[in-house]
Amino acid sequence: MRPNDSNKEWRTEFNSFMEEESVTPPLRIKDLVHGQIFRDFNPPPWKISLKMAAVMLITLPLNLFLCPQFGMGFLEASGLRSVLMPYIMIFGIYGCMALCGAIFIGTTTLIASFVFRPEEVKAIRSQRLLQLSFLSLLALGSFVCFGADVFLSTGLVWLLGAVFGGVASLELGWRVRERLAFDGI
Amino acid sequence: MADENDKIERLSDEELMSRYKLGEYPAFEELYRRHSGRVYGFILNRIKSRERAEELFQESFLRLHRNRSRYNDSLPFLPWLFTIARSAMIDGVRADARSQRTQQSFEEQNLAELQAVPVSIDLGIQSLSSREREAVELRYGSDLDFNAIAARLNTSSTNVRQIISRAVRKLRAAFIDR
Repeated sequence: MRPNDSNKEWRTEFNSFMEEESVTPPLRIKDLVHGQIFRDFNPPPWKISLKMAAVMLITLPLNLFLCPQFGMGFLEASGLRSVLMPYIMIFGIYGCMALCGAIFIGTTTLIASFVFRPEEVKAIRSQRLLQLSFLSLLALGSFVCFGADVFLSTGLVWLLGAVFGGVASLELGWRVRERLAFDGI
Repeated sequence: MADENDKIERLSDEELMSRYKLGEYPAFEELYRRHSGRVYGFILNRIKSRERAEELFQESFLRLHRNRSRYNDSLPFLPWLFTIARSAMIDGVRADARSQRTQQSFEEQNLAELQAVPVSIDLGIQSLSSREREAVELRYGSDLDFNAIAARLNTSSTNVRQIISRAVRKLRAAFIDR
């Protein structure tokens, strides 16, 4: 069959498709299709939390590389720590902690907002406080396990920064993605 | 809510697809409402079995769902939907033909093996249960199809296939032993 024949055949069939008389599919089939797609569009929260934790594991080395606290960072190795610390400390210890939380969880949610399926990002957005509080607590818990000095007051500020930073970058990522989708990029 | 529904109803198919790609379930519902009848009618007019047509219709919409991110919003939606429904139908027909051929060759092979050892068949038959014997006799003796045997044995045709397959295995084992 020549390509032209195939195109012609496609066109003929498409025309008959367009003129096709509408036949209502059985309700049972409608329920099956809708049910499957609805489930796909509403993933269970635990699955999303797990995926977020996985993304956090990937961003963890990147953040620790920049963070001066664990002595393994780029700042430490390059000797930039002593140069930058006075500027960073302008925000004070609480400002620093909030910024740290915001960067840490913000990076995770920003990546998630681009990499996850749109329905998963929507699910995170619909329960953002719950999801991000869980993620932030998990991160803080793992820092304690790694031997970081976390005190109640600074820990709370870190959590607040993490949740707000997470929400902000999630929204930013989603808006950019939405814009890209509607612009057909 | 009513405003939202009105808004969705006023959107073009292509705009609905953009929203559907971003995980909006109501956009899918609207696309289904608009085009399910056309797709179902198209398949139903080309596939004899209603049951099979329903399966292929379902497959068409699930393919649409799986491939939604590949849709280019700048192109019209209906040709894309048609291509998906058409390819689901063609794949379904091909799969049916393949499974029919496999079934046929399986039966021919079984029959050939049974005919190759006519003398020892009585001995092999003795190793079968009465139900298996009856099924084999109806299939290869009376040449009935699976549905007719199922009706005679008061069971499903899938079960008949299993009974006959098991019986053939037993017969084969009995012949090999001899």
